[in-house]
Amino acid sequence: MTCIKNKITPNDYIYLDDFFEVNKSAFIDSIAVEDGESEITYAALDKSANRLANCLIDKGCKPNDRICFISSKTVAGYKSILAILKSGACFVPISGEYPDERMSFLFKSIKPKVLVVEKLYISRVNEVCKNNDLDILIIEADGTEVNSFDDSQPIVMDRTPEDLAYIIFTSGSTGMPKGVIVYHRNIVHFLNSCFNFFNISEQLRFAHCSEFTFDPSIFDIFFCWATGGVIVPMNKRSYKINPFAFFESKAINVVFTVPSVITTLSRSDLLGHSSLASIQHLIYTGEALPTDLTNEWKSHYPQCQQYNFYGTTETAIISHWYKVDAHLEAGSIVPVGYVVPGVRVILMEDNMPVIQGTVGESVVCGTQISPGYWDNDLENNVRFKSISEDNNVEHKAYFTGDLLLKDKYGCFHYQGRKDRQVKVRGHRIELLEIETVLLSLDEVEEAAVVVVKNEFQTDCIIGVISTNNLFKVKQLPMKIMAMLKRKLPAYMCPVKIIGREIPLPRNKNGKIDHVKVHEIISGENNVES
Amino acid sequence: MSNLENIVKEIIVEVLKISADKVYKSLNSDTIPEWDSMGHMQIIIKLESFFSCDIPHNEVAMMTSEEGIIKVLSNIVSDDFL
Repeated sequence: MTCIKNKITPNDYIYLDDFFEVNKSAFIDSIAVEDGESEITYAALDKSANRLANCLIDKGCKPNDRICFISSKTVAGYKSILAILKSGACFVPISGEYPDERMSFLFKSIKPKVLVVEKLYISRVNEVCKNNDLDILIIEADGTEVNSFDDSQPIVMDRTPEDLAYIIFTSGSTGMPKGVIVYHRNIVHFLNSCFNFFNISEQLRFAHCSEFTFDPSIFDIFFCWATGGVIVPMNKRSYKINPFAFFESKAINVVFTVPSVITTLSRSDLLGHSSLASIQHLIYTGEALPTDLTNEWKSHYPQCQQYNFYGTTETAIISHWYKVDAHLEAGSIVPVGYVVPGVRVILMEDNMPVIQGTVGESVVCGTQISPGYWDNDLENNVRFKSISEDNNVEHKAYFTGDLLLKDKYGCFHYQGRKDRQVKVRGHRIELLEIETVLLSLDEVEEAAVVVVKNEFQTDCIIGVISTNNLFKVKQLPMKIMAMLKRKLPAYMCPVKIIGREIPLPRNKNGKIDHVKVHEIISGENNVES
Repeated sequence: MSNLENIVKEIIVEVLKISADKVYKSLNSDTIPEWDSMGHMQIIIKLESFFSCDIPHNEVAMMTSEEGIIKVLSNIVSDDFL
């Protein structure tokens, strides 16, 4: 097999959809998506997406219009993303599992021109729009209307690399999610860099582990298509509980996932099984990566290349990467690695660069940084600021809140957070967002949310509330759990709410002392709700 | 339905707080939205607590359905439950 990077130069890619378009003719009869129920070739996917794109253009969609799509990881979902980009518009993935309130908030915030919806979610989305007086055009991704449109390549006028490619929502510390805007040039720069970083063959089978609403999906889908691969979604709930069932049946070659998926396999004594030997590239992200895990994997599968990727949605998925080439010191954490070409990272404290070998907040500049959050000046002013370097030239920079340390070889090591943002099973969560929702309840006087480990050493979110009514202390947690499920996505809901009739501990500044809250509940906690 | 089957169904329904109208003949993680990875761990912890047993890690991942749970527990719990 020829390595794609020898055939295609990075300059061929200007827009995110080019990662499908440029090479599609080379793989016309190959399978592009295999979702477990059905599969589709590159040629058929192209025509099918063209029909939907031509339908969207007919409805007036154009560059920088936002189009929300709501779909599970089926052929229709992948077609929807591609079609929205083909129409020149920007895609905004919304989970069909989101509570009504969150879904309607996102629709109101984004003001989409159209909603592209999988048949499964049509009635629910219609209901959400109706109940919230939202007058938005809804198109069924595989509906008869779409299929009546022409399947020729759509023509999009007045397009630039600075158009919106996608907006992905992440947890927000103000109590509401924030939408990260990504331009085509941001994400195209990262994906182009991948051609030089990976020694990847054509037509590999890429696992798609994350949901559409998380940006690792963008790498999985578009780097896969650029190399003529097959995207294979991990799209059953049982696969998340038992990932081996997925790997055993799908002959996967490329995996981009959180370390806990591989830890699950290790704990089940499945590392070493021949079904995992097909994996050629194993990319970890989203959590601390123990060296013991990479060493164990390497001892079983020495032919597989492992990588640690680190970054944020605001830096077009990945800003640092690390190839795990050797056995690493046991009992340690794999570094987050070296900076992706074209990205610059300055470690700062109190608005000044720190000296070499000192921990500082990671501040990112360069081609990949997002222009900011959608319609959110408050968060933009905190996170996106101008900095001046040695030559006194001002640069826009993204203040990540992550604390890193740079060693003498230029390799970065993760040291924690400056604030209370956490990652739980790869999901980025602002604990303050959950606390804000808790405090919106009249009965709750104080609320604190912390992360503790359960008996499987898995991070779990626990909420602690105080109220002055003894009766409520006993009854309130169940009521609150039900309320949270109506307002927050499942991955943000605490597994347990603990009610207290005495005030939560506070530090000398009068703020809730989360360290002491953590100590209190660690003493009495188990994850049964 | 055996005693074990009854207990397992009751635990799944209780832990996941499934409403009565969702209690199908066979419960599994692909048909019950509440049965996600966190719900799964809560089920396992409740089962371990109820039966006073330790379920091996390599079995936990296989217990993604009512039948899967019963198959694993049949080899672990005392005969009184069978």
